[in-house]
Amino acid sequence: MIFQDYAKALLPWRHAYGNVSLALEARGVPTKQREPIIMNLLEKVGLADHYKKLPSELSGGMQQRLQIARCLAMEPRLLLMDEPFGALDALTRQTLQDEVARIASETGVGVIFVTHDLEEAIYLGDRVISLDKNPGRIREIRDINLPRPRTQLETRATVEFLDHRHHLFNILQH
Amino acid sequence: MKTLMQSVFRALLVPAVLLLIWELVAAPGQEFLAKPSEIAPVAWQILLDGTLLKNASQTFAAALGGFSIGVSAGVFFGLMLGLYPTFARISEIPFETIRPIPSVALVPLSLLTFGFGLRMEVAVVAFGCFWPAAIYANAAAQQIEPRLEEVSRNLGLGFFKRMWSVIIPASLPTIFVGIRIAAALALVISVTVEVAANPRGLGYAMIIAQQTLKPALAFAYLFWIGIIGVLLNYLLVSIQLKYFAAGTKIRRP
Repeated sequence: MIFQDYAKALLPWRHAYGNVSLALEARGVPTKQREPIIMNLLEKVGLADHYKKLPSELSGGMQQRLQIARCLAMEPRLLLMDEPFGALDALTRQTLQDEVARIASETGVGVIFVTHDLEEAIYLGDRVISLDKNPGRIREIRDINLPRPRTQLETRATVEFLDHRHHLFNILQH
Repeated sequence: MKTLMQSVFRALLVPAVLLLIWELVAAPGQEFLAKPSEIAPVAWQILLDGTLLKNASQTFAAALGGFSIGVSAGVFFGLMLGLYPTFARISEIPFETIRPIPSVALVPLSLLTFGFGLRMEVAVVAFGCFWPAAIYANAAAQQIEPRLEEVSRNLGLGFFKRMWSVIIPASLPTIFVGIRIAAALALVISVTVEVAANPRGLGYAMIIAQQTLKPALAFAYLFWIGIIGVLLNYLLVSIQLKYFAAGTKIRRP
């Protein structure tokens, strides 16, 4: 489970390393085996050089990556991400979108990603489920068959992408 | 160098004036108000001949023992109060009823239970230290970021792991304020118990000084108790500054 408010979800008194370690401690991984796992995960989210920093010394995007690393340490089969990039600036957001896509394909973890951003949904998803408001019922399930790996510039400019966007936009208007 | 001299001068000015007034007011031949010039040699002498150390260590043993027991129990109880609303509700009435009892009022009961000596003093000090620790731990537990609780549940932390790795570190800065209060209280209560009943330690030494009509000796002990209190507070504030200063407004006194 990845929370939107990354700043509150990390232990402020533990270094990046220790925050990832918490998940391993919870699983009962012996101390000696933790280090390679932690460094590997930090590497994967691009924080290997910052392992000794406290969350307050990391930027928003880095904190969110740290949270992702901690979640991956649980070796989950499914990641639940509740608007994880909602509070990030546009550029960081795009970088992290690509990283999540890459991590998902590398580790084979499934991701359920909640977002209000249409393009984000299409760009990341294999399947987009649009929900009605009040009560939240499923409105439509739409498969997205854009080829992977996707790129911010080209994928977003394809006819298919724009097609999906039109369609979903119209659904949400009604 | 000049500024250091100035600040030393400023810090010592008021005490020096007060001591001077005291020296002048305490008329010669006046029996019960000792002059500073009479107190100073006595204070120095009890420091050198070891009586101060002997008495202070007795008081300290009781203060430290009671402090440790009272604070541990208080922190645990307070955290439970803060974490489990049901527990808080069922213990509210006993908690609020027992809390206003002054520690010293427990002296007769503690004397009956434990007799004279270390144990009865420890019991009374522990009772006194329990409350500030419990109250601050309770407040600390209530202020814990709810998101961290969700994270603990998410990661599947067990009760002890959650306590040790999340709850206690998150509440320690607030709990430490309670610990400082409890430490000062431990010294006050142990001396009070010695003055009131227990024949040991600094408090009893002052009673002896009073009964043998040695006001200078009583004042000398009073002086050292003050110094011990200052040092204790200095130590605790240093710990607080070192470990828990981030995000708080703690200043060196």
